[in-house]
Amino acid sequence: MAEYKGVLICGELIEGRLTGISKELLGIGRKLADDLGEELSILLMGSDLSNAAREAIACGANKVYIAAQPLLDNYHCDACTEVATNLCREIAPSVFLLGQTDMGRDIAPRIAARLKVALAVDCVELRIEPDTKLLIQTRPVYGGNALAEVVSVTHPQMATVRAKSMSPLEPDESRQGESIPVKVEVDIETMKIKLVERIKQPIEGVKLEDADAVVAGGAGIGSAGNFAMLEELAKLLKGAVGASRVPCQEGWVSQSIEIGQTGKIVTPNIYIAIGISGAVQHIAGCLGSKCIVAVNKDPDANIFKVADFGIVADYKEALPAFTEKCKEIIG
Amino acid sequence: MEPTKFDAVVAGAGPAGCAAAYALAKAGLEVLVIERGKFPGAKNMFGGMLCGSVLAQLIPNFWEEAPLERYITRHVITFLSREDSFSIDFQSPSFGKPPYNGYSVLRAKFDKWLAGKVEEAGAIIVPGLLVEDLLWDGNQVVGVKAGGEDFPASVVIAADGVNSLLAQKAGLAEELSTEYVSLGVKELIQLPSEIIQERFNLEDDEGVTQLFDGFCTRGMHGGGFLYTNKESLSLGIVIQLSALRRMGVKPADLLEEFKSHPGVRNLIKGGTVEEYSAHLVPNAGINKVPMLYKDGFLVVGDAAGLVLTTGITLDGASFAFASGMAAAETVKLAKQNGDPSRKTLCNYEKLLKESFVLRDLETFKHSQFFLDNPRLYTTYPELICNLSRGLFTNDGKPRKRLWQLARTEMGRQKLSILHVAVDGFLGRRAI
Amino acid sequence: MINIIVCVKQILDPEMPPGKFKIDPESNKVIPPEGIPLVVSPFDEQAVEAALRIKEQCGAKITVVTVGESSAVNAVKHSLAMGADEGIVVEHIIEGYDSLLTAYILTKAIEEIVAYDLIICGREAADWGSGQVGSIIAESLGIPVVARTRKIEVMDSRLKVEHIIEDGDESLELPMPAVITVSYEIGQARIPTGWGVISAARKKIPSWSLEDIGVDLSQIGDTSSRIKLLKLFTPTRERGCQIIEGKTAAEAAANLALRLREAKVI
Ligand SMILES: Cc1cc2nc3c(=O)[nH]c(=O)nc-3n(C[C@H](O)[C@H](O)[C@H](O)COP(=O)(O)OP(=O)(O)OC[C@H]3O[C@@H](n4cnc5c(N)ncnc54)[C@H](O)[C@@H]3O)c2cc1C
Ligand SMILES: Cc1cc2nc3c(=O)[nH]c(=O)nc-3n(C[C@H](O)[C@H](O)[C@H](O)COP(=O)(O)OP(=O)(O)OC[C@H]3O[C@@H](n4cnc5c(N)ncnc54)[C@H](O)[C@@H]3O)c2cc1C
Ligand SMILES: Nc1ncnc2c1ncn2[C@@H]1O[C@H](COP(=O)(O)O)[C@@H](O)[C@H]1O
Repeated sequence: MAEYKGVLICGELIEGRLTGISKELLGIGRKLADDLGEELSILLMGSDLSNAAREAIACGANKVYIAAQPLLDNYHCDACTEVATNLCREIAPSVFLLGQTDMGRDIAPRIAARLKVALAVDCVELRIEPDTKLLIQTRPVYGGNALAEVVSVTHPQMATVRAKSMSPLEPDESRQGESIPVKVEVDIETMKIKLVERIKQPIEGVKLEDADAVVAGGAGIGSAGNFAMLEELAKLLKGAVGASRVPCQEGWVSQSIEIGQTGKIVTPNIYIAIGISGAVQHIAGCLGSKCIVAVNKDPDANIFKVADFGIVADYKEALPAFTEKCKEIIG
Repeated sequence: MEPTKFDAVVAGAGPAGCAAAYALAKAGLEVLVIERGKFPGAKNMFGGMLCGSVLAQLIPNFWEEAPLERYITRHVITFLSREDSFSIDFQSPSFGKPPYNGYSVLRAKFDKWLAGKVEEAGAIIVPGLLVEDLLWDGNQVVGVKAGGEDFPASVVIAADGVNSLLAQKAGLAEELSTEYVSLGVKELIQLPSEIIQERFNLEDDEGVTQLFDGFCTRGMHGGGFLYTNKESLSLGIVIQLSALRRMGVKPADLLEEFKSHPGVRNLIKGGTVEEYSAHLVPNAGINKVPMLYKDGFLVVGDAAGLVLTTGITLDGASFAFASGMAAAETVKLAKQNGDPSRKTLCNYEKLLKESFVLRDLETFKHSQFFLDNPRLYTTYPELICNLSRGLFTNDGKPRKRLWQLARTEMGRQKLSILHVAVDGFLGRRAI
Repeated sequence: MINIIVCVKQILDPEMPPGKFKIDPESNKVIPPEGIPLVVSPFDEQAVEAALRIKEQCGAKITVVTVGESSAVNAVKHSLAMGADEGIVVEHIIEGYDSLLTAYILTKAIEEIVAYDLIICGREAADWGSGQVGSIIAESLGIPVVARTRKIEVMDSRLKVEHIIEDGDESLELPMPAVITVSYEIGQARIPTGWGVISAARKKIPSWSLEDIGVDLSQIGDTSSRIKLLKLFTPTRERGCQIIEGKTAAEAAANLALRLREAKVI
């Protein structure tokens, strides 16, 4: 496929800075580009992109495509799909990577549909096969019960990448790269989908995805009120509270703190799973944690299979004592 | 307009309910089967060996498509003392030819298949729904209540298994006393098929049933069983519930004990336990068979206590099939006559009396009493094992005749000739 | 009254015990565990639920479509039992990772049904978890799509939907026809009633072949011309858990804290 060249990343921004996953994408993108002996580019959409462009170059990009359009500051699915598809058509990358984020989940399938190419979502490992120079994509399937290794035959080879599964490069300000403006020919007014309002839930304390300690509760917690015990421990450990599907579904906690295959991926130093049985779909979201601790009253719960430490106990009796002891230790 | 009343509503999609529904649907009647399990067979278990001759009357050559595990060609009976075991082993290749004598079967698969046949025949099965009550018009049963909905029917067939709720609701039976039921617990133990074949001396699809008497029940009325499946063993024990309560033992503990007996341990070596299940089985034979019908209502299978226990074998499935088929015949008659009252439905009991169902139960009506005798589970197995031990021991001392050995052994077991004579007499009469 | 099409897929029960999950390394396929019936993918059940709620709100005719082997008729039956009006099985076995083909066949089937105002899909099929088919259908039909919604409201010929985004949600408006994909946030799917199952069992469910809907496989090409499955395998992930004991739960908990300190994790 001579005409398809290079690796393209779709960048995401938060307050004018690259998000964690974007840096992770640059990290793996750099490696793939090197293996191909080709260039790494990134697409940035929004206004005031100069800081992010500098960051992107420091994190490994050779080229930054700047789609400057203030309207894109507010993520708009149709518009982003349009811009990214057009760029792909124009520069014909061999590999096009996005994050398995809300934006990636929205736009990647649509771009793939427009380009009529295969898309492998939620990849946890990517590598170039030396002989064919094709991209081998590894992704969890069947809720995490299995891993599938697939290779796309169509170009660009599109994949979305699971958060925290790749490592970013150490930023190096001495790296050189060029910024290239992209013509943005989208008129939000003609787009069929209209944004009425956006409601962001304010986050108190540490953001779940960035927390070094996560205290997660499951169906076993039993009520919204009982989550206060988890809050207390999380605060003490300077971490965040997460949850399995059940508490989110029951409305005990916000749906935005669901951890797992369909929720957030976290990789803290310590993950404390309380009253969580350890369904594959849940542990998909926390397996990257350095240390997993389980508190469950059922000794046969699956969570003990993936934990490093555990106690078999009713959390209502165990948790206060645990928090107390932690207070003592941490001081 | 779609009919809102069925010719028959069958409660329970076990062998009895499926047989009834299949025969009725084949005859073109509107049949509804309501099953509480997530799918038919989901929670059902038995030993078990299925004798196919009755089913073959309903579904000829069923063995060609049913999910059967192994053809049983070998039957072993084993007596256990604390450590020793003594076996009688019967093997016949003729059992391995169509139509076969019996098959080992896993209920989850088999019941699902059978229910599929029932649907193919045109009956409707609603799984995941518990029949809670009967609908009445005066003294006539006119349907069932399930999940808060009403399902009207000309005849209701109670095929809801042992301790039938519906037979009780119909006023035909009382809640079963623990004297008249046994509890079966079983483990499904995975083992590669090659190992099974080698270990049990079997050809490809051949299987064995092994029944255990003696130490495994700690003297309680009951026994142990082992059946070979394709890639697993069904291993369990059946014990009378009242005895179990009296002794205060946990069935799971008994099963563990059974599994660690030297005569059993090696048979299951290397296997991994895949599931544990428990189920009741009626054991009173004809003595506790309730009134079998009422206006608009029939009771079939385990729900009617139609299970034959002879002490060695346990056959419920054939009785379930046969009673289900007899019920179907009767409902067809009721449809013809336009009369679902007891006047027509009494035909059901007549059919059962003519068939092996009530005849066999009559023949073995004393077995329950006989089988309550603890000597069967302690004294005799031990006697047999110890006799054999004596017979085979070679310790440099002068040998004794078998008769002398027996005398000594009987003395040790405090067993008089009179006991043996009485037990022998009762046994002859009972089994 | 609007016409709603719901796409449902029949899959292995995603909540089966992990121990029952086995792969045949020869064929790179999952061995369906015995005794565990196939189910409607949970998000698709929720898609049916979403359609039923619209039907209750403003009247709708709901047609359910599935592509799969003949037993996939059970997925349609389940949806009918929940309350959908019609169902169609397109009989063709596709690899779960070939989203383009799945969406292509579904698009053709949808075009055959003709009347549609709204197409509802699950957010992702709970086996291969691709989350693409709904979007591809929308692109092929040239209609708008909103993925992962938690609420759908019909206002004349427009829709108002709540779309889930990072740390919150947004409210969007779009014209019909449109594709919406739904997630579990839509709420529990209803359990079919007994009479629901009965009327579903009595319905005739047409089975369409690819020819019936004008799908020409030679045109779209076989799966391997897009994507190849090299290997399907089970990950190893047992960590060897240390169970911390104590006379009471509280003591065990305190010991756990000490042990974690020792291991320098807190
Ligand atoms: C397609 C799909 C995607 C999914 N995605 C996700 C996902 O992203 N994230 C997710 O979490 N789930 C997901 N699920 C759901 C998942 O399969 C499980 O159903 C869910 O994770 C179970 O949550 P749980 O462990 O909290 O509840 P349960 O499985 O009910 O477990 C509760 C546990 O609490 C224990 N317990 C109860 N009381 C106490 C007590 N007092 N003290 C201590 N322990 C106690 C019990 O022993 C039990 O182990 C998904 C499912 C599907 C089908
Ligand atoms: C341990 C054990 C070993 C056995 N071994 C053998 C053997 O080797 N050979 C043999 O032939 N027999 C054996 N039996 C006996 C045999 O299993 C039964 O006799 C036979 O299954 C009876 O069939 P049935 O249809 O009457 O009842 P069941 O098989 O019990 O079926 C009853 C059905 O009704 C359903 N149901 C119950 N209540 C309701 C309700 N309220 N609403 C809706 N559905 C309901 C149940 O879920 C079930 O599917 C054994 C039994 C046990 C317990
Ligand atoms: N074979 C299929 N038949 C019908 N609908 C399907 C099929 N595969 C996927 N879908 C629909 O598309 C959604 C997303 O699937 P996927 O892109 O495969 O994750 C599912 O939730 C279904 O609504």
